[in-house]
Amino acid sequence: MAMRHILKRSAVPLLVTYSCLAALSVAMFILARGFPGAHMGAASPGFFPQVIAGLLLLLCILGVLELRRDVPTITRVPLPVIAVMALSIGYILTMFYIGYYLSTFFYVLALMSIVRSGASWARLLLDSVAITACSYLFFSVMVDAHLPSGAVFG
Amino acid sequence: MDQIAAAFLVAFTPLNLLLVVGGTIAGIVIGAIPGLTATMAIALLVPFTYGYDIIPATALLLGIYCGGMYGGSISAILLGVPGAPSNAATTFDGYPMTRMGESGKAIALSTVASASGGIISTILLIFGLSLLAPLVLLFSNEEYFVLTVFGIIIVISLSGRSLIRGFISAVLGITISFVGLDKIMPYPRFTFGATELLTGFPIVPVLIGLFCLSQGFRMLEGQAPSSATMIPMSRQRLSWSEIWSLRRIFLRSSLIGTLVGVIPAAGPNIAAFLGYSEARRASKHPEKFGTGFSEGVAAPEAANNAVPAGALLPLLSFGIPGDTVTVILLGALMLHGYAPGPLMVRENTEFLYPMFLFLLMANVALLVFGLALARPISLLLGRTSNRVLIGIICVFSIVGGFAYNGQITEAFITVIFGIIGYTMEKFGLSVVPMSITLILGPMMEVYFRTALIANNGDPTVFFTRPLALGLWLLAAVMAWASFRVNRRIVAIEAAMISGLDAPSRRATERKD
Repeated sequence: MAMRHILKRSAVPLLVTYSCLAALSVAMFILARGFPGAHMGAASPGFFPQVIAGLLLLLCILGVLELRRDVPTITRVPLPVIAVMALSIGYILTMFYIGYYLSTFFYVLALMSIVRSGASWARLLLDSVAITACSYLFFSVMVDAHLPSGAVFG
Repeated sequence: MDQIAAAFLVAFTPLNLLLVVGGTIAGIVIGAIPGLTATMAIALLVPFTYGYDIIPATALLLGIYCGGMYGGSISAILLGVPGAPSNAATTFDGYPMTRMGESGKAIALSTVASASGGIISTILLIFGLSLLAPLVLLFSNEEYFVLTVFGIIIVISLSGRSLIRGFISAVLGITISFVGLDKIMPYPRFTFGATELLTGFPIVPVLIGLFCLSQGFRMLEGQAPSSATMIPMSRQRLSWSEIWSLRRIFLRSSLIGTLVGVIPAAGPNIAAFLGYSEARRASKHPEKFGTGFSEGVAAPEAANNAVPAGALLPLLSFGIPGDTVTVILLGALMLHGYAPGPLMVRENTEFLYPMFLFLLMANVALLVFGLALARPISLLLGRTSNRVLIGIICVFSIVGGFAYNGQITEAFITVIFGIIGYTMEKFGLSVVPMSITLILGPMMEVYFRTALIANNGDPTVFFTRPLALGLWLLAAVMAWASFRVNRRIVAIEAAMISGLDAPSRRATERKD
């Protein structure tokens, strides 16, 4: 309740972020304490993670205090961005079932239909084919990378 | 002498020549597109080097680096929208020159300034490295530990508006670097039983995600600059006397750019603003700056193109990257089995000399192709579709991450770090400190623990050795100076950006 009076409403996303990072630092500290001990005078594998975890926790507290006087402008993440992020994960998953060429074509087509900006469907199809062909030329022909042919068609 | 002759033979093979020139052209084209930076150009094209040996790979990457740094000036001059934040200062006089019908002259000026900045700074790099080489041999683990801490402190002190958020970003980079097998005692840390994570997060997919894919996501929010604002390129030429009259500006800005490049994380953005403000301070006509004055185009362009060679100095001598591009360059070198640093200066000189030649060749290529390509690029800029660019960036980033090792995990890592990079920037956390500490963090830990082993666990060695103590003092002074410079740059940027029109401001405010 007191925090609501001290901090601006726009500070809430960063406050949540700092809280998550503080939780991460505590988890890191606890996990690092379970690492083996020092050997031959060297600091143990857990020494640096514990120091950094402590530092991160301290910085999160300072970050929260800083929010009282300086809050960066944070705008909402637009729906198209979230959709493209989800599409990108889906693209990798489908690449291994239907192969590189088909998955790339459908990924680009879906992505372009999100950022359509008035283009016709014929134009989107043409652009998708062109980008898929360019990526094939670059990665398969020039870089000689092994691209997945897919479990279904391979 | 034999080494220099051998370097010429290595550098001037048809393949290396083709790669330097091709890299420079690719860098110019990618860098000219608003929103796409030299960092992105190099990250997007790193997969192209997977199949090459280290020397041709370096030829290509250095070409892209130099070309990408210059390319942004074309859109800055013709559209009034900088291709990258490092070209923002060029818009102040470049775009007014275009409006006065002098775009051809402004482009020629920017090309000559960029090439001279690159060539002068490469010469300074060669001298700097020959001076540092004997000093590097005096360093042991204690000094290297202090040096990595020094680098991290400077990175944080230059992190823009909020020191705390810069510090958090740096600490997050170190945290991520903990994942994997411990480098001193073979013990898995934070892998949670996943064998794919035993070698830690692969640096190239992580950097592609942080710098490329995240930019693709960001571009979904913005509007592409309209081709309606495009003013056709004029045909004026630059005279020799005009070039000669600007020689002092070229020299001063190149020196500023090289020095800024040496400071970790300072980067071309700061160099360009400092170059511009110093040129204005020293000019006989400071009142003409901002009205389409040739000195206002020459100064920032010479300064930002001097950064690549400056940033290579700490990378090649101590293994400490000077800016985000050298972080990616370092990742690419490590991919080819080379670790820049003292060992390279001592043992891989056959690689160093061709590298200097590639830098010089890239700047000569820039002079030739920068002028020749300006007109076709101006036509391309008028027709660039944001939609197609986003498609290319997303596909090339994800497949580039996958092609690193042919593993699905690496494609996922690219996407995850793309989301992390986008979210961090959204929350006012710059990814630059994180990307640099991803490299410096593990180095700092290894030097610290190795020094302790060598000294039976005595931590006082980090303060009692004279060289280490000297470095601590230098770190303190430099951190204070960097903090002051950072404050000044933030103020200059804020003042200058407030004078830009809306599309220029949007493009300038995107972080490199």
